[in-house]
Amino acid sequence: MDHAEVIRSQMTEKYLLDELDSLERDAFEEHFFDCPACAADVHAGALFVDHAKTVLAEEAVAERHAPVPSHARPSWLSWFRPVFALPATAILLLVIGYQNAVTIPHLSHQLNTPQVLPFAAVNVGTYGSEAPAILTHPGEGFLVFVRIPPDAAFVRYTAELYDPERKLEWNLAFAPITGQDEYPVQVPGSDWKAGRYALTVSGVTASGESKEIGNAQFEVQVQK
Amino acid sequence: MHTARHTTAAIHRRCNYTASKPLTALAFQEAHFGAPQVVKCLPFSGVRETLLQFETFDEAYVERLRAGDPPTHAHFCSYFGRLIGIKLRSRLSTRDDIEDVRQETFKRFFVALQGGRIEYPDRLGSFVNSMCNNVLREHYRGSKDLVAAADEDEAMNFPSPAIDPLQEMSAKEVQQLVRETLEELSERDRRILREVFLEERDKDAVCHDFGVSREHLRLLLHRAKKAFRKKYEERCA
Repeated sequence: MDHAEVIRSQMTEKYLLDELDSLERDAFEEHFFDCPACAADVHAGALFVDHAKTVLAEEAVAERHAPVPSHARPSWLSWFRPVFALPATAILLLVIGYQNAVTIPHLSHQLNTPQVLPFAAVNVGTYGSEAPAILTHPGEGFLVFVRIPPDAAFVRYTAELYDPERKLEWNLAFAPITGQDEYPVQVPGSDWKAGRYALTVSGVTASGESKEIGNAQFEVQVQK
Repeated sequence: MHTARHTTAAIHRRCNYTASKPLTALAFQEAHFGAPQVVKCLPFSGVRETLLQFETFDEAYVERLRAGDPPTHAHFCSYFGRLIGIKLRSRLSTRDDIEDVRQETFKRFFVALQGGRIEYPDRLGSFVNSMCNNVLREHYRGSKDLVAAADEDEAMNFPSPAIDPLQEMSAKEVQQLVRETLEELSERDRRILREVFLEERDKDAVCHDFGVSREHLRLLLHRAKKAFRKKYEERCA
């Protein structure tokens, strides 16, 4: 048997896998008993197979005795598994993309473009005043001209806006301006609820004491 | 029926040699026969696994062997002992049978050696192989020759196999290398090897189940063997 042929036809592997018929097996043995290279190859292969049986048997035993994994509550780290993390990342990218492509340019355009805003003028501390109406759109801001009786005792004013359900929308602190009794307040766009909003204004003295000056109401009408 | 299978087992059972150090085959030869005569080789089950050491088989090698040169003798027994073991394990089912045939092969070889019947020293391997084939055939037939040889052997005290404490560690070292090699394989490939070698399933069925060809199986073994051999040689170096 030619050595090159032995290599080419993977005789060592066939021998170790017991794939040779008796004639081929005899011929190969005849060869590797005389061929040091093939003898070393067969020896290494036989050694590997012999010990692999032992190692694989140990693995098989270990598998049989391995505890069955319990269905414990997954930890919060499981959210970082690809099955969750990848779709979440994709959704976030879509949102970011939409904001960059649509929302932010639109808002930016709104801010940079002159426009006429809805408005209302209210008097704080005047009893029996009617609530003026403001027609606006969802998300659209408006102006409120707030008239406050001047009082030199106050060094600061605070205004609080309450929605029709008497929940605080926001508050604002601003300094009085000498000789001025009307302050234009820009109300940022919001998810308006149709109904009566209340604006309460308080004055803060130099000693830090706060005193309510009064409140005013206006009617928000939302045009869809 | 009294067959050769009883020989080595009987020898080992009746062993009463208690030397302070393992008796070498050569020392045993000298003790019983005086050099140069028929030599009984030690069983090889206690030999620490090392790489096959190559020597050129030529007239000088055979002459050293005939003269009882210890290193040459040790090399011969180690080298061919392993090859014979590999050859026999697919043909014989028990360790005792393998030992019997191996011992008988060596016995006949040394008789031939002393009788000057090694005509082609460069084909020493073929000579040993063909001698092993003859012994094997006789073993299958339960030959009277083997029975007679067994009886003759039983009349002599044979050394017990020297238990090398390093051998256990060596097996563990080899297993560790094999484990490292297996861990480098994919889970599927490891399962294929497990079903072929450990569970001894039909190879075609295994290949079918895993959707691979027999060629893949051979390639898998080839790569694993190559990786293992590389680790083995590095460790031995």
